[in-house]
Amino acid sequence: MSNNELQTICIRCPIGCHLTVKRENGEIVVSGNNCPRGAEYGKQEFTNPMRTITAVYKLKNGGTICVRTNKAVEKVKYFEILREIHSAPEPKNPKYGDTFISNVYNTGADVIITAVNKDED
Amino acid sequence: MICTQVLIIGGGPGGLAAAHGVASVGANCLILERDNRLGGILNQCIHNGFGLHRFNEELTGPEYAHRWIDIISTNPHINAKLNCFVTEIQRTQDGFLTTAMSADGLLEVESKAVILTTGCRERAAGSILLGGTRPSGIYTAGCAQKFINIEGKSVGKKAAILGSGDIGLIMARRLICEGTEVVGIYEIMPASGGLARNITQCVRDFNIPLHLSTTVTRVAGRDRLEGIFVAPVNEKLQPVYELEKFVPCDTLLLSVGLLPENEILSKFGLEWTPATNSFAVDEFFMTDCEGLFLAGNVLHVNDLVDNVSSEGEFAGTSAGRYALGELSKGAERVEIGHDEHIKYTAPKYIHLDHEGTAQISFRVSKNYKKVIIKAFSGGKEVSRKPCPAVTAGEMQTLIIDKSKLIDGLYLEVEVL
Ligand SMILES: Cc1cc2nc3c(=O)[nH]c(=O)nc-3n(C[C@H](O)[C@H](O)[C@H](O)COP(=O)(O)OP(=O)(O)OC[C@H]3O[C@@H](n4cnc5c(N)ncnc54)[C@H](O)[C@@H]3O)c2cc1C
Ligand code: SF4
Repeated sequence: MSNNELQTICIRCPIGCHLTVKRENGEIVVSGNNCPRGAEYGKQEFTNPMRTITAVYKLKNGGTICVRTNKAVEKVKYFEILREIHSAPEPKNPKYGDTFISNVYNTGADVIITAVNKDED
Repeated sequence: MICTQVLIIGGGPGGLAAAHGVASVGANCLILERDNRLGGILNQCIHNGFGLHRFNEELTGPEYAHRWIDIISTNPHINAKLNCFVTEIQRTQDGFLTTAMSADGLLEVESKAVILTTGCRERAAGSILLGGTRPSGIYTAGCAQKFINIEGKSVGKKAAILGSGDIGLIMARRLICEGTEVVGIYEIMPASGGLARNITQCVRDFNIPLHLSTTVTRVAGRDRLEGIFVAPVNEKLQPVYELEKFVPCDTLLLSVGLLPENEILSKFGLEWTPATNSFAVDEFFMTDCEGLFLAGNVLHVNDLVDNVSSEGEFAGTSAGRYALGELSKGAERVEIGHDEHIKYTAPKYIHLDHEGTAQISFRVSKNYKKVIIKAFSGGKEVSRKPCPAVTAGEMQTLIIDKSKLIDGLYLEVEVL
């Protein structure tokens, strides 16, 4: 796989068309798609794939907080966002649904708490 | 001694939905859960992708469980007891007597009906005949998932994964995000059984090598794992030992299948179905034993939690109606037939009572492009579902209007 071509499978519906995305004369061309949604997906994956990031924050006294971004963010920022999550200060009284980090890594997305796993005893 | 109309064993998504179903018909139920909280395996599945069908949102596992716990927690018909490990179920004259170990000692519950929603467990090293020594550092993928996501522990520095089903793929990404190097995923079959989405977002996003038609032949290391031997396999899936090579790593995750957790029913003498590694049920999700119901992963391994929830709800309403004496099963029961494109159906049986609907789940035997799934009764088509593509891994469902049934029910896959 080169930077000029991407082979992938469309995940927008169960058909799973095998897509080829290429840059031809400055334009991005998707082939193999059965419908326009596949072209849109292929272009997005080729130019700037987006992902919802989920992560685990370890609590000092054992246990974890599980978090996710509240919307998809640029995949290229994956590890920077993870680093910001892992190095955030420990919240005092974390609760399900709380915002853990707002506007993480300047993406416009918030990181929210999806679970708190503390040893009760 | 506690008395309840319906006892639900296991408080995962199947059990939670079953409780909702029981309460919806006005019966009372009690959930017994061995863990210290409800939610089952969902608590450790922190990635997103749950609940698209049910809530029209992409939730993580714990969030999906949370939604369901919210739904049932205010319902006066539903009670739950945690830290209760059910050890025995006995048939009594007018119902069941169930025994559980709890923090307060032995607990006995009398009920009219029992729904088993105990999920499944993972196949371990012993069940796949992995050769070599027995050092530490070898985990089932689900066990590692629990250590990392819930307990905040690290499993190792350099890991290999055997098996490329969804749990293996998802764990590969989790390890990378926790700073563990993943040397490779080894899959004995010529293709991964995982979803395209997980291949892209867990494997390709992180450039993890996925070795198809390759297996782990043995492991090496005295106290801690020092490496694994891998070899390609031939068409008969036998390793080609001349090509075996050593891959250094300190951790091996096994993602080699799930088995329904249903041994507790072994003495009931129920009909066994080898295709699902579980017992046969009818469209009410009732086994051969009157009043004993199964739903979720204990009945057959589901790939989507939404399916588990709808099955649980179905079993719950049936069990509730049974406990209230409103489930008449006088009608003739027939086996659901199917052609060679279908591996099995759950339920296996259906009643010709001409009332209500039935939800039939099944898996096809291989991947097909365009198909129409059809159901026939008395030579007439009673239901059809065109599918743009079906894969062997993916569960299909068909809803049958029982008023249309004439004699039996036969499912067919027409390949276009
Ligand atoms: C390790 C693992 C990882 C998975 N990861 C994913 C995933 O990432 N995505 C996905 O869509 N699906 C995943 N699945 C599939 C998932 O199991 C199902 O979607 C769904 O959670 C099954 O629901 P269930 O209620 O049938 O079982 P479970 O969620 O397993 O719930 C069963 C419950 O029964 C309890 N129980 C069992 N035995 C007893 C007993 N004797 N007494 C009292 N309580 C008992 C258990 O503690 C548990 O709470 C995974 C499965 C496993 C095993
Ligand atoms: S291209 Fe269209 S038809 Fe093909 S998988 Fe994507 S959404 Fe489905």
